[in-house]
Amino acid sequence: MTRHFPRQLAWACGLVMAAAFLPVSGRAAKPALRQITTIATIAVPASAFDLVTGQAEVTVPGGIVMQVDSSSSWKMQVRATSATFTYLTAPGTGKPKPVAELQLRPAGGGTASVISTSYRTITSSSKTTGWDDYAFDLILQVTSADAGGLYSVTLEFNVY
Amino acid sequence: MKSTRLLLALALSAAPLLASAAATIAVDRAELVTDLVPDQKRILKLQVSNSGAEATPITVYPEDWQITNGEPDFNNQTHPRALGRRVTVSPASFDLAPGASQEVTVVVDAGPGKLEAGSYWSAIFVQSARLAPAAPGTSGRGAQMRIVERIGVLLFADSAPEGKPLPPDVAINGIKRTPQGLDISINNPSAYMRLVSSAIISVTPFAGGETKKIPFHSFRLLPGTTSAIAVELPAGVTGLGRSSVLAVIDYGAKDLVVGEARLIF
Repeated sequence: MTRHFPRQLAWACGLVMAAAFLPVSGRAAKPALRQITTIATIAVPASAFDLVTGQAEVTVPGGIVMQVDSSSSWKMQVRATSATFTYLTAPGTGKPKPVAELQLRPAGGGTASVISTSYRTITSSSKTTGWDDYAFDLILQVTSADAGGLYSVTLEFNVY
Repeated sequence: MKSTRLLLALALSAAPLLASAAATIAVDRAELVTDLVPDQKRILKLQVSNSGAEATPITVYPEDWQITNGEPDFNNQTHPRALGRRVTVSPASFDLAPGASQEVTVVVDAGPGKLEAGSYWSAIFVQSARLAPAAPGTSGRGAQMRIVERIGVLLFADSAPEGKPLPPDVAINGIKRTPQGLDISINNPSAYMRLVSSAIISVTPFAGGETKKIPFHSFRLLPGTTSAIAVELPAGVTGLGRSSVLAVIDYGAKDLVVGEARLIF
């Protein structure tokens, strides 16, 4: 598969374009991350539950929006900072709700990533053309056995 | 149809609860590269800026990472070439007003003792430390996700840096079609991180016609790994039919590295 090709010969054969060969020191890279969403809430109405199974799945399309501006290739990852949600309005009640019951997927489709305390890559690109939006759908699994009230988790978005 | 209506209703009910703010952090480097010499320090600079509309507290810290499947893995931190314990940053925390920037000094202190030849690595993370408070007045059943953001600047320090030109050891193992374009599999068997400063793909249809040249951006090859580099194809390549594909990369060796494949577009 691999061949090593003399530079001068590559030029002569038209294999390369001058503009494509910039010195390493000329690399420009300015990854920037803009957090459009600082907090997202998923409301789970009683009507969302299946009366037979006692389960509900609630999706908030585009519930989290981030923006990236980068002149070099980058990846975005996400993780939760704790393995379980923290109950805000009913502390001490019910069993801990695992963050694995929350999923994130690129808005409009794509593969959903189950949230955990390990980083999962959720999107990547070679570069952007400016501030590009990256929206994600939130998908929450709920059972009627979960304690009522509001539970919270912190999600950490990582770009490198 | 019922489920669609339900989803729409839930989306609409959730929409007013989404708090928005433009917390924006940027760094001026994707990576920092230096050398590593016993008993010597290296001082590197990093510019952190806030182009958002609100002031934001920032924390800066080193964090080690492992290489898994050719990619940085920030979940598994300990390994013999981890650089984090040799790195300090200053200032480690500060507030950034809208439009302001702050220079951060990164000191790499090799310390005493023998070092193996090759790259050592870590990352400098710049994190917006502001955490939104729980939304007041929210009632009923539901979940809140509070979002924090951070940017990683990969840091590499080479012990016994290589001379130029670099050895001819990088190889293109394969080129294959993907739904988005092409995947170029490139092996870097050395103990050093390599920077591919430039690369180009040439697609020549067997049926004749103009050769399409697709330059793609610089990328890094982590030490001792095979990386899959994704290349998006521009309009005009799809539909060329059976074609010869040449991938040419330049990482600073005496010769360029060329890989070839015959693929259908």
